[in-house]
Amino acid sequence: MTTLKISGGTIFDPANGVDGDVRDVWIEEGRIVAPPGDPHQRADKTVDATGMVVMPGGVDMHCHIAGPKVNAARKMRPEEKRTSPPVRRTPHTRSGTTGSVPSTFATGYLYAGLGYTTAFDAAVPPLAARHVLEELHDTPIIDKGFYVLMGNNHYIMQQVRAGEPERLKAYVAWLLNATCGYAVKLVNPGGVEVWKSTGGDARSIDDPVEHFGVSPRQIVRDVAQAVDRLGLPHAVHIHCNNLGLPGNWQTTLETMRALEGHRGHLTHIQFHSYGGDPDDQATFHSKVVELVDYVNSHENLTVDVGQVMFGETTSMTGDSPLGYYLHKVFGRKWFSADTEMEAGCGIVPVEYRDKSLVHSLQWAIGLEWYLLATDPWRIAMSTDHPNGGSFLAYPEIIALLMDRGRRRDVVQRLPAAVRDRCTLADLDREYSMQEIAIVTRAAPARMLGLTRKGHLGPGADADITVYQPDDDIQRMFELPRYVIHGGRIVVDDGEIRSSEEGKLFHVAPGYDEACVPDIREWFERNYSIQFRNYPVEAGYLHEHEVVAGRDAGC
Amino acid sequence: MALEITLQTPSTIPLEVDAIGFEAVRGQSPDDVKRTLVQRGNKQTPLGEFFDVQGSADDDEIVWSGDCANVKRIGTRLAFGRMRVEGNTGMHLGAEMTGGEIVVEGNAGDWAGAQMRGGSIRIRGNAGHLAGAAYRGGRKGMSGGEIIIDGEAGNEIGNSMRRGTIAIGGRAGDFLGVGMIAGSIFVFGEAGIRQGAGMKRGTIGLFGGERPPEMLPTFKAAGVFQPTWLRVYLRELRARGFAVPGELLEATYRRYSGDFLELGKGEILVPVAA
Repeated sequence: MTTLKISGGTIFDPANGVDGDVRDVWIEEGRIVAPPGDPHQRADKTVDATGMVVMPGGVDMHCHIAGPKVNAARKMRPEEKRTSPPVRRTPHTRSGTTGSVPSTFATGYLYAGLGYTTAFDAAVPPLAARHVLEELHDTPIIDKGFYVLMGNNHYIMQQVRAGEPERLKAYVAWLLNATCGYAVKLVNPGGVEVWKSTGGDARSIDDPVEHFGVSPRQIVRDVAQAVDRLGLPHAVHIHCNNLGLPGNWQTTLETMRALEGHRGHLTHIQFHSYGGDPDDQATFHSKVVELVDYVNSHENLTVDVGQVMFGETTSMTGDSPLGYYLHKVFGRKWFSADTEMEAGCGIVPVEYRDKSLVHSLQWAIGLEWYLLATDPWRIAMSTDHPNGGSFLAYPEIIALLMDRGRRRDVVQRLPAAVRDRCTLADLDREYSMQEIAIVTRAAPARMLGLTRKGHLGPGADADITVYQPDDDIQRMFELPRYVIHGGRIVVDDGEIRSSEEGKLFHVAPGYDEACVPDIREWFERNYSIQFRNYPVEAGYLHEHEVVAGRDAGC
Repeated sequence: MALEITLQTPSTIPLEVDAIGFEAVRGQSPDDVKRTLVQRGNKQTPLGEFFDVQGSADDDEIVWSGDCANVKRIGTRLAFGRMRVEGNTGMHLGAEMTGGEIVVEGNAGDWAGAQMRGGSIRIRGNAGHLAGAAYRGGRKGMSGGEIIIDGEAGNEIGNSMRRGTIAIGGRAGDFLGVGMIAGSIFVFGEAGIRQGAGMKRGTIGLFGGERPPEMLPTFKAAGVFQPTWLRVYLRELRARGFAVPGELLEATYRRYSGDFLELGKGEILVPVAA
C-alpha cells in the first residue's frame, strides 16, 4: 500500500471543522486516512505544502460539458475555436480546443488545472445518455455524472395528471437506471412542451400545459415528492420557468412554495431573481433580497448561483423557448432541437457587456446572492458553464467575493443605475477562505450527497488542491500548485502529469417492476426506437460507482 | 533592397508562413529569417529548409518568388509595408490584414483577404473562393480596404463583408456577396447564380456577361439611374490600371433592391443595354 503525505499545509476543510489549521494530510490507496499513530512513520512520498493552502478538490455541481447540446455548440462556434488558445499535445495530454465550449479532453484538463476534480453535467435528455456517457469517458481526470431531464417528459406529465404517484416514482427510478443518471432535472417544467406544441411558453407556474392538463406547479410538487420518497442523494434540481424575464422572481418564489417542504435545489438562481415588467426591459431590477429571505428561512432549499461574467460565451439550455428568446435579443445564430417525448434544447452565442444595464445587473445580482445568503452550506458557486460564463471564471468570482474593493471598482464602471436597482454597492461582506472552501467544494458535495467528496476526513476520496497564497486572489486560484485526484498528483505547477479517466457517479434506485409493462406499452406506442435498445447497457460504463441514497429506498 | 524569399524546395504539405511579418523580420539578417519557424502540416520547421532568403526587410518590402501555390498565409495580419508575390500564392493571402499592400502577379488561393480590416490586395491572376469573406462561423467578412482581382474569382466572394471594395475583372462564381452587410463588389465578367443572397446593405455591380443576370425572387427592380458615385469608383479603378470598359462610365444602371429576406437595403446594379 503506497502512502502519500501532504505535509505542513494550511488546511481548510469546513466539513470537518478545520479552518486554517496547519496539519498533515495522509493518503493511502486513493483515500484520505488518519495520520499514523507513530509520529516517526514516513510516507512513500511527501509533498511539502508548507505555507500553502490545502483544500478538498473543487466540485462543480452545475455545468454543461457533454452530450449533443455541447457538441452542437462546439460545431456552432468555429469562429471562437479559431481564436482561442489550443491545448497542445504532450506526453500526458491529447490536443484540444478551448473557448466557451472546450472539446472533451480539454474540458478535463482545464477543470483539473483549476483545482476542480468533480463536475456534473446538468441537462441530459434520456435519449442522449449513451452519447453523454461516451463523452464523459473522454473527459479525463475529473469524476463526473449527469442529471436527467424530466420536467417536460410526456410520461411524467401523464402520471401527474392521472394522480399516480407510485407510477411516477417508479418511472423516475426506472429512467435513472436506464440512463445511469445521477439526479432528476426539471427545466422550465411544462414550458418546453408548450413551446414544442404551440411555440409559446408557460408564463406562470399555474399555466396549463396544453394536451396534458397539468401545470408547472403540479410537476414540481409531484416530482420533488417522488425524488424524496426515492431518497435520491441529490434533491430535484430545478431550472424554474421564465428564466431571464423581468418579474420572474414571483415565479421563482412560487416554485419554492410548490415544493411544499420537499427538498429542492434551485439552480442558476441569479437568472430567476429579476423584478420588473416582462414586456419592458427598462424596468429590470434585482429581487434577491425577497428571494434570499425565503431561502434563508427554508432548510429544504439549496441553490447555485449561475454567475454572469462579462464577455463572450455560449448559451446552451434545455429551455427551448429561452433559446429562441435569446436569439431574438442578441440577433445571433440559433440552434433548436426537440428530443421526442422528453425535452428540448436551444443554443445561442451571447455576449454580456458591462455597458449594458441589464447585463451589469445580472452580474451584480449573482454577487448579491453570494453575499446575502446566510448559510454558505446551501449556496454553491456556478456560472452555469457556459451560460453565464466559463467555469474558468471561478477564480475571478472568488476574488470578487473576498475583496469588496475589487467589487466596487467594477461597479464604478457599470451604468450608474446599477447602484439604484440592486443592493450590491451596500454589501460589505467579504468571504473568508473557509467560506470559499464551502461554496466551491464542501457545500456542493454535501448537496449532491457525495459523502466522500468535498472534505479531507478519513475515508474521503483523496481529491485535494494545494494553492500557493498570493496577494492576487484570482491568480492564486487560477494556478494551483498541486492538484491531487484519487491520491495521484494530476497537476504539478500548472502541468498535467496524469490523464486518468475519472469515475462516473450514478444512482440505481429500486422500483416496482410491475410498473414497467405500462412504461413499455407507452414507449412502444410513441418512441422512434425499440424499448430494449433504450436502457444503457452496463458495457457502456467504464469506471463507475453507484452512489447510495439518503435512505434505504435508493 | 527588399527581403527576397524564394521557394527552393516545394513541399507537397502546405507551408504556413504567417510568422513572416514585418514586425518579426525587420532588422534581421537573411540567416535570422531562415531560422524563423513556420508551420508545415502539424509540425514547425525553419523557413530556411524550404526557402532561400536574401536582402533585408528594412525598407518594409518583402518579395516572395518561386511557385508558392502551396504556401499559405502570406501577408496574414499584415499591418504595414508591401509584399509582392511574383508567382502564385496559396490560401489565406492577406487574411485579417489591417494595412499595407500586397500584390500577387499570379493566382491566389481561397480566402484571400478574408476578414481583412484595411490595406489593399491586388491579384493580377485569378482568386479562389471566399475572397474578402468571413471565416466559417464569423459574423462579418472584410471590414475595410480593397481587393482588386484582374482575373476570375470563385464562389462566395465577399461573404458577409461589412465594408470595403472588391473588384473582379473576369468571371465570378456563385453566391457573390452572400450575406453582405455593407461594402461594394463590382464584377466585370459574368457572375454565377444567387448573387446577393441574404444581403442586408451594400452594392453589387454586375457589369459583364452576355445575358442579364437572373435575380433572386427576393430582389425587386427599383428603377434606372446614373449613379455619380459609381463613376468616381470606376475612374479610380481605371487609374489603378484596372481594365474598366469606357461605356460603363456613362451607362445607365437598373437597380434591384434586396434581399428582402433580410433588411432589404442592399442593391444590385446592372447596366441597361444601350
